[in-house]
Amino acid sequence: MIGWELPPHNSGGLGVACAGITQALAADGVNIDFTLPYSFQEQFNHLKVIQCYDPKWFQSQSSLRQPPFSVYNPIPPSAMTDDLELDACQPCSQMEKQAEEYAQKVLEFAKEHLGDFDVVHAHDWMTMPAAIKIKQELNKPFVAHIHSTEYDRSLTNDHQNYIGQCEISGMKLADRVIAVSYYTKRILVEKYQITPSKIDVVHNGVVSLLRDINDIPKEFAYRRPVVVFMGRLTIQKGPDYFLELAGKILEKRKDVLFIVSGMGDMYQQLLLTNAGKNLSANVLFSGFVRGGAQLAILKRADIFVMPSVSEPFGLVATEAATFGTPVVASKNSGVVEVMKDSPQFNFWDTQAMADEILHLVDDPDYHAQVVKAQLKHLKKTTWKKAAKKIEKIYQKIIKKK
Amino acid sequence: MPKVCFYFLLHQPYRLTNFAVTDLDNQVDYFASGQYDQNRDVFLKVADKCYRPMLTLLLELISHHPEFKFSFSTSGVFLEQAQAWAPDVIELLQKLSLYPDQVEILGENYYHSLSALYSETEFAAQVKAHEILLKKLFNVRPKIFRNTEMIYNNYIAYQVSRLGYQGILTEAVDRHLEGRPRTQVYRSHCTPPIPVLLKHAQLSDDIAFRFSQQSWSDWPLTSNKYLQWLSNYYSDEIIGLFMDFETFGEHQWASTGIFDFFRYLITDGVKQSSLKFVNPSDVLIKPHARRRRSWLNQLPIYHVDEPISWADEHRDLSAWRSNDFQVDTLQKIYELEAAVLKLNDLKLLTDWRRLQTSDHYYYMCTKYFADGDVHAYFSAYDSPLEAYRRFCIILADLTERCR
Repeated sequence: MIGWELPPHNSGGLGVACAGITQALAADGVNIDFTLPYSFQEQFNHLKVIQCYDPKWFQSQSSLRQPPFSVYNPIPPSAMTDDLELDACQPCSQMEKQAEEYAQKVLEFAKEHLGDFDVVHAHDWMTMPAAIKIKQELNKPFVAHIHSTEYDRSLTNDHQNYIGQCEISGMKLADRVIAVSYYTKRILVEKYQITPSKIDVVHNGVVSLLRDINDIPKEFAYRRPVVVFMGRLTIQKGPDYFLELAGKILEKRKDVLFIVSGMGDMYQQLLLTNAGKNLSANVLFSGFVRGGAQLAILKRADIFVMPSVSEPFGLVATEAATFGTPVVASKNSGVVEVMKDSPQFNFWDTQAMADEILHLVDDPDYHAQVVKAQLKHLKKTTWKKAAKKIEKIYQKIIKKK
Repeated sequence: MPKVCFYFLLHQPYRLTNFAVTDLDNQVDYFASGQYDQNRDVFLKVADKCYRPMLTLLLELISHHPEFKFSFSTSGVFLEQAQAWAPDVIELLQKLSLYPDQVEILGENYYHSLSALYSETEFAAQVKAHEILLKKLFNVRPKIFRNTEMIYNNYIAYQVSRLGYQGILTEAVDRHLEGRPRTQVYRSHCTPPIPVLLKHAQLSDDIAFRFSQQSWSDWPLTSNKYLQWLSNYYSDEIIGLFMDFETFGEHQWASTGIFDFFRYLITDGVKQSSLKFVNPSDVLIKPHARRRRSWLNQLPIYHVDEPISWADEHRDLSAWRSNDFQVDTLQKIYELEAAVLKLNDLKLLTDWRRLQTSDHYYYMCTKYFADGDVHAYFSAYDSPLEAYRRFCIILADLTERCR
């Protein structure tokens, strides 16, 4: 399995998903070598971590390496080779260059262990160059697992760039493609022109974060309804719609408290909009949170809103739901396929979302009803189920060969 | 031999802790986190670099040279912090206050706030609170007023006049002087009027800002050179040298020679009899005690509609109120006045008032041109965004306490 991140070194859903998938596969007896592009000290029983990295990747400023900024961090001119023509389809950022070099390291490992594996399972564009190299040179069966696309992040249909090319050639060359939702499958078909019959949908599993709480994080903001947004502050996640619906709710109820949790390139703009809309005392920014603080916020949330413009799955929404929090989600997301009874809206329809949130705040019975339905659906959404589907895909392509 | 009027401001705010959203409604302190108090650290550092050496120097000069005079004011929050962490600084101030003919203490609003712009009642309350503290510590009742950051307009002069003050200090702003000199006394445009003494920005900032600037054509500034500049003025002119007390040792470090500069400026000025030191009361009250009304009425008017201040290029309010962060948080904090007062909770009242301190809004300023450098130097946080972010969470906590 070619990975890019694993908890606790994760920046988003990908690491969490990889941990869930590998644990469930290993429980069924699948042996996993998991490559990572950095030094990884933690030991796992369920997989063997293979470190495939070059120490020089980590010599530059560490803060700029943090996602999501690392993608936009250009290669220093000194590192560019002179004869390299300016070409958008070549690696243009440090992270892209890292993916390109990671491919070579992973290929070297694969060559040395040629007889030890049956299938290559790669996750998202960063790992596609490696999978492509192995497919081309060693002709091993290859599954491309798509957790998130560049289309979700940029919302443009232009694939004439390195990331877009990684995605397209990876999926074209793969024996099977896994999409984390029907929503994502549709993007792969319509925006990437991948044959529908080649794509299987495997929903992520859901693991309750409640088990992570040894000492229950302290409660806060006791006496008022708390509505939470949690995610990167980028156009993809729709934090600007969150501010808009907050303004609409506060026109009707002044005591509601909104928490925007996360960091991203829209941070400054969101703060200014917040002040400009006179929301300073009601919409608060926690900054980037993890660990206990993150759990405390999810646990305290009375309502979780995910107004994403395009969300392949939305693990954080399911995590919120496991705390017994109703999730108000964008229709453009994968989670609404598993939490079928959750209130879902067009991300731009902030009035409808505002009305729904007020309904949930004002009507405890309705609140309880939504929570109950969500938990019922989530119980059925397990990594075990996901692993079974993935194993079937493995068997199919091994047999074919 | 021109008249020279020194005025220094001593102030330190209560900076905010990194109050988290998970602290909301959990009785977490806004200004100190547990045992650690960054405000104490800052205060002790500035006390070492500035308050102790400069106050000691002033005391020496005052006791040796009866001709030397200066005036100062402090914010109430400065005095609170000094009492808590550096009582010897209070003692030095008290020793100075034993020379009332040479050292004049001016009135202020206790929390170094912008209350004069938002609430007449709150402003009056803060001025009174400050008077009580001055009475207690120094046994004085100030007659001349200086508002936060020299912020001034006709309406503020009116409020100050109604509170019984007999004069006020502010900035000389060319767009309001219209060519008239900044070295004479004016009267405020309000009824009853009070006399207004203006700051000489260029000569003040030569010391406060440019003293150690090596790119400045007049660097290095010596006391002789400066005395020479002062001697260009006539004997009926008053040169207002108004600046932060922290200029001495903090904004300009001891290594720049600022302490020696000041010492020789005073001793040589006295020796050469080239200056006459005056305090605000000497020019705004004493000579005109008898026929005050007719004296006042013949003074030219300093007419200021839009508020001015002593800060930044435009000498306006833009350092504290030019972007949405500042406008919205200021409005929200003053909207709470009635609710805070109604609850009659001293801790709540104090927290609310400490959040009015102008520095919090100054840290949120996003002007990124020339003034940006000064702002970055004086900011307690990494960025205006962080200043706003923290303030909002605390504002939400305070708002909830008012419910």
